[in-house]
Amino acid sequence: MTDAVSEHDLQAYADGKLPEDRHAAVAEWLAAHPDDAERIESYRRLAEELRSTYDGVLDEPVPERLQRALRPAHARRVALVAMWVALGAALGAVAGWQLHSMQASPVVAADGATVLARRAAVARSPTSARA
Amino acid sequence: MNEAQRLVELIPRLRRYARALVGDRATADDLVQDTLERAWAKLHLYRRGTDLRAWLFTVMHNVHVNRVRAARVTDPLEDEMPELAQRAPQGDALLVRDLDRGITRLPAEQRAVLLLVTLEEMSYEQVARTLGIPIGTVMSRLSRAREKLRAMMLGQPVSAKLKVVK
Repeated sequence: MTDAVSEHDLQAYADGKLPEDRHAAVAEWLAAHPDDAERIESYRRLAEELRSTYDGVLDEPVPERLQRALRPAHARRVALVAMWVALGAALGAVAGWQLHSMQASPVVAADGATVLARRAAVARSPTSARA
Repeated sequence: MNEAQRLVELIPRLRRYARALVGDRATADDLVQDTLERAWAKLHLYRRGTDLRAWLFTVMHNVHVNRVRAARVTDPLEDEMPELAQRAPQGDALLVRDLDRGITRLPAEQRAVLLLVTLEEMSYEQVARTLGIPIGTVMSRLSRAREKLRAMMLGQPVSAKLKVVK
């Protein structure tokens, strides 16, 4: 006993998308209707030819301009991350420098004093005045 | 994997579909480029966990419709005159050219359904969702596309409306 077979069933059969429970009914229909069987077989072949015609595109290298099409937003995100990293680094540097100068200020002062003393000594020296 | 990486992975499939949809390589890649740029700009509208491929092909469909409409404004015959194009190198050259030409002669909406079903191997439900049409419309367009293409391949007259390519 054959259930009513719809055009939807036949298309799905050609596409291999027919639900399992419809297989028997459609196969029986096609056996009894050679014209439909021939037509559906030609649809299936057509789909195969379509795939073999265009599947080669899948293996072509993707042109640079298409890869670039995805870059603007990506680049923006990268730039944002880079900005935060740079900001973090800058804050760290400032903090580190301040910490350093706080710890190092006596040394700097001492160095400064030494330099001043040396300059004073040089200024007073008659040889360096002539040079 | 994030959406960006998945979009990159879908580029070859977009290109395959676009090539079959519009015919020549340069125009197809223009379509893909517009699609990718638009997808990037609209990525916040994509709902995570849903079918990204269907979403991307919907974007491509909309971009394509807009491009065809724009082309028609500048050249009313544009859509009726598919360009001769460089073809995929494999397969029987004559058959490939005929199939190609047959595809470009299908009405655009039937072509889209046939290509999504056969090349992308989408389910009919996915095709309906991608193109924003009822599933019954998917089935009738698929059926008509196949019958037309089959008649063309058999060398039967399909439509008196077919224009001679200059």
